[in-house]
Parts: sequence; C-alpha cells; structure tokens
Amino acid sequence: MKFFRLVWAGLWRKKVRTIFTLLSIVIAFVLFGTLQGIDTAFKQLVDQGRLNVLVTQNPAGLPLPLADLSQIEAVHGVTGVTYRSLFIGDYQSLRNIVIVLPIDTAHYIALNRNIFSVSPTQLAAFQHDRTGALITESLAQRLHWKVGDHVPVHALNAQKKDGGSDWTFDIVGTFDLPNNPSREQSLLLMNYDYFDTARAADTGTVLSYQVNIADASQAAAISNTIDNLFANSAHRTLTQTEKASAQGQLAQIGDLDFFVEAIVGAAFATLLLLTGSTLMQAFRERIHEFAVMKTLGFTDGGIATLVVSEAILLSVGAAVIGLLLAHALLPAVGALAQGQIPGLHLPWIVFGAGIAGGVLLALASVLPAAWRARRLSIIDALAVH
Amino acid sequence: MSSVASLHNVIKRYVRGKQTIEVLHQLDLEVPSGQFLALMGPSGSGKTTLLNLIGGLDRPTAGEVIVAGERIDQLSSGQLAKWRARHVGFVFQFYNLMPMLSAERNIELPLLLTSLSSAQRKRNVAAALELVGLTTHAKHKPSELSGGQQQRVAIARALIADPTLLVCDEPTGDLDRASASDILGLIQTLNRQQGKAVIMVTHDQKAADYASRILHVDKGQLVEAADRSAATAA
Ligand SMILES: Nc1ncnc2c1ncn2[C@@H]1O[C@H](COP(=O)(O)OP(=O)(O)OP(=O)(O)O)[C@@H](O)[C@H]1O
Ligand SMILES: [Mg+2]
Repeated sequence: MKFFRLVWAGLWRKKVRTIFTLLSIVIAFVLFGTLQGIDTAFKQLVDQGRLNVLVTQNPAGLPLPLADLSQIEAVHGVTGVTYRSLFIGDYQSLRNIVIVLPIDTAHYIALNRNIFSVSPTQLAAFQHDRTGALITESLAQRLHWKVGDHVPVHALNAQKKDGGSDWTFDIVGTFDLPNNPSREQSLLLMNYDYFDTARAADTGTVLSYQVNIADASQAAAISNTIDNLFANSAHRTLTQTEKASAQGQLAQIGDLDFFVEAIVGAAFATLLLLTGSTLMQAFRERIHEFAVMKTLGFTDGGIATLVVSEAILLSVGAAVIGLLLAHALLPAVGALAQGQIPGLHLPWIVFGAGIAGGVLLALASVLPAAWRARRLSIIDALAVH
Repeated sequence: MSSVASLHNVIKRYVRGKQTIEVLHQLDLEVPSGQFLALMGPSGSGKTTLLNLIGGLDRPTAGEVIVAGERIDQLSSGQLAKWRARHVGFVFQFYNLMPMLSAERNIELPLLLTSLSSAQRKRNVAAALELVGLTTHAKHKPSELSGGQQQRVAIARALIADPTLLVCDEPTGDLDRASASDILGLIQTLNRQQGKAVIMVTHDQKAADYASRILHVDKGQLVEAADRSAATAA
C-alpha cells in the first residue's frame, strides 16, 4: 500500500498522455460492455425457448392456412395446438411502437400457462370482449394506458377492410411474463377473430402454430410428421422447437457473436499496440529515474513490479469506468429500442471478464517495458544525461 | 581501527565492441571507519568507476571489494540491492530526484524499503528535512527548488535510512561557489557529528579540502596526495 503513492505519481507523470490512454481504453470497454450486454440479451431470449414446445411456420415466413389446425392437432404425441398472428403498430407516433399479437383466445394463454401471469377475471373479460386487449405492464407504463381506456393503434403492416389502418382496442387488463425478458416489450394481445374478420388481406391464415408435445425427446420426429403432412401442399411448413426457432430468428439479424467478437477484437488489437507503445515511451523517459531507484536499493523485480502495477492500475481503472458506463448506457439502448431488445443489462460475468481483460491488456502491453525495467543497468542508465 | 571499505587487487575492465579498456589496475584501498575521503584525478581516470564499485552499483572484473563488512563483489544483484539500501547513501552531481515527487516524498523513498510504519517514516523525514534546513520546502517539487536546495534534498534522501557510508560523485559540480560550500559544510558536519564515512569524488581542490584525506586516481591506481598538510596550512 505504501507503494501506491509511487505508482500513482508515476501514472500521472504526463497527465495529458495518461488521460488520452485512459480514454481510449475506456471507449474500448464501453464498446465491449454494451455489445456483450446486447449479445447476452439476445442469448437469453433464445434460452427462454422451450424444448417441449414446437413452432410451425412457413419456411419463408408467409402465412399458413388456419385450416391446418385440425391436422396438426391429430398428430400423435401432440397435447395441444394454438396459433397467433402478428403486426406492428404505433400509438400516435412512431416513437410509441406496439407489437400486436392476435391470438387464439380459447387456448393461447392456457397453453402458455407457465409464462403468462394474468388475473382470471381480466382473462375472462378479454375472452368475452371482441375488441378487448391485454397489454404488458411495461406497455401500460410506457404509454400510460389503463384498464377501461379506448385506444387506437395505427398498424404499419395490417390494413383493414374499410381501407384504414387504425385498430381500436378496449384495454381490459394487463399481464406479466415473470422471469422472461419479453416482459419489457410493448406487447398487446388481441382477439384473433376480431383481427381476422376485419383485416383486408390473408383472411383465414395465421403466422405460426404453437404445438405443445408430451415428450421433448420426440420433438424431431413430431416436427417431421407435421412437415410431411404439408409437404405437397401450397403452404409448406417448417416445424422446430421454440428454442431452435428463436435461434433461427436471431440468425436472421446476422452472426451476432462474430460481429461482436470482430469489433471488440479489432478495438483491443489496436488498443494493445497503442498502450504498448505509450507504456514503452513512458518507460524510456524514466530510464534515468528507475536507475536512481535501483541505486536506492529497489530491486530489479521491484522496479518491474512498479511498472506493471502502473499499467494494471491504468488499464483496470479504465476497464471499470468503461464497464460502468456500459452498465449505465444499456438501459438507454433499451429505451431507444423501445423494449424490442428486452433484458438489456451488463451481466456480472461480462463485468468479470472485462476486468480480467483489463489485466490481460495491461500485462500484454507492459511486458516489453517491464522486461527492460528489470534488465536496466544502473551504470549504463546513469552514464547518460 | 576497522575499515569501512577495503579493496584488494581490484581490476576493472570495460569491453566496448572489440576494444577492452582496463580502467583500474590491481588497485588497493583501505578506508577507515568515519573517514571523509576525497578522490581526485583527471577526467576519465576512473573515479566514478571506483566509486561505483565501492557503492555496490557495479562489480569488479577481478579482486576483492569489502564494504561495511561484506564481500560485495560476490553478492547477487538482488542481494546487492538490499545491501545498498542498508549501507550506502548516494549523492550525485545532478541530484537525481524524482521529478513527480515532493521533497518529502523523495526523501521518504529509501524508507519504503524498510518495515517502518507510516508514522515513523513521517517522523524520520521531518528530522532529515530539519537537518538539511528545508522544513519549509517539504511539499515542493524538485522543479520548484534551486540547485543547492535539490542537492540538500538528495543528501537528506541519502541519509534517511542511516547508511554506513555516504558516496558522493561531484556533489557540488553543478553548483555555484556559495551553494557548494554550503553543501560541503553539510557533508562535513554529517561526517564529524554523525560519524558517517564519506567518499567523495571531486575535481575541485577547494571541495577536496573539506575531506580528511585526499587520494588521486592516476593510471588506474591510487596515489596519496603529496602534500596534504601543506595544502591545509596554506
Ligand atoms: N559503462 C562503461 N562502458 C565502457 N567504458 C566505460 C564505462 N564507464 C566508464 N568507461 C570508461 O572508463 C574510463 C573511466 O571512466 P570514469 O567515468 O570512471 O571516469 P571519471 O574519472 O569519473 O571521469 P570524469 O571526471 O569525467 O567523471 C573512461 O575512459 C570511460 O570512457
Ligand atoms: Mg565521473
């Protein structure tokens, strides 16, 4: 501890240079923390995917006939089937996005009992009110909607028969998705019947079926059976576990892991060269001082330790600042995305990995300087003035 | 009387590329405890080389170097560092203070290598500052001090760990006459009142006159100053 002041003083020997180095490391860690936070949020969405629940969709994402329902229900091993559609709308302005899910009111909630938390009276109200809607609590907060409100949602991709795009709803209740990052999304559940009878196109179709099965180990076999049913129809299907389906959706954004690793990797490679040369430069300027300290009795290892400590303090300090900034920034990213990327936060494991990265960065970049500090000959260094 | 330093048959060669130069040829030296010894001689004669051997900054090519009771030519570099911390205080021509540390932090440096508590270190530093007359400048950075004041800080730093021996390489070489006699007076007082042995390299006869003995480095060997008593009498 008594050496801390020495390390600290050495660090701030050239203030401007230290601040610039610090800033560049901070920026790299903000980038690292934010991207990792986003990556983790997407991974959590995939992790939420169940293995005993299948999703049947058209391979190209086109609608499927509702008439397929009874055939899927008849497949051996299937315990229940429900369906939904989807459109995106906004309330008053594009800043208020609402994800509208027209669902099969009879079964959808029942078949997702473990995920949805909704009061029985509100659920009953929803099932009996054609224009009734259930919304996530986060949506209620975001748009200040409450039970009894009559609200219009302007659809971006669902026209009505009357030529308009404004869908009106009566808010009958809220629901929550406990322990599920999707709870932060602006979701609105509406009656499929209301949607299907009022919409201009694709009447009698759904976007996807949810197929609950008794035995997760039969997932592949049952998926095959379902897809074979429609192999020769005009509307082919692709059935996957909910998890695989979520993974597939994520893959559509691009290879996120690769993207994150490439950016972070490039940032850190640059940083390594930058801090490496800065630390070497700083070392060269202090050769004389280190030699003097050796005359006072500081050992070779002691001087090398001081040099390494300075680098670690700088790098880990910057890493902590950067990660804290990323931690503060992630909710803002979430707000920008209006809950579309739910579960945005900086996980402890990323924080830990960041600190470890800071130490590694320091060690890798300071190694040449530390080595030379250790080898530094008093006589040679003092001879130069 | 015991010796603070004794050198026997010391040879020091420097190899520079293909050239080898022998700076010290089978040199012998005895420095009794408590002596204030001045080393003189022309530039390049090997004064600094000899001082570095005595101070344990370098090792001889051959021969024995015993300082403060230790065969320091046989110590490893780590042992030598610890030995220096315990036994030697260095004062250089260009002060060699840490520019980013205040006077008191510079003086404290050698104590960081001891087991003294922070309170004890503070006390010792205050006493050393007092001794060199810089109590009011404790918080000043070297750049805020005159040459003479910087050299006082350097002397305080050399003394703080209570070394057996003070080794000074042209301590007044960069100072004006008044500051120089100030510093030399201080070194002399330390020698007389605290009994510290001092070995000082100087070009300046007036500086050497503060010493109790003067040796000339000449052709790699030591020669006793011919007429020491005459010089002081004059
Ligand atoms: N590290 C070294 N490598 C090679 N040669 C050296 C080295 N140090 C000193 N020498 C040579 O050894 C000789 C003695 O040098 P030294 O520094 O001991 O002289 P000095 O008496 O202190 O001179 P000055 O009065 O100029 O300080 C010189 O010829 C010098 O060039
Ligand atoms: Mg010299």
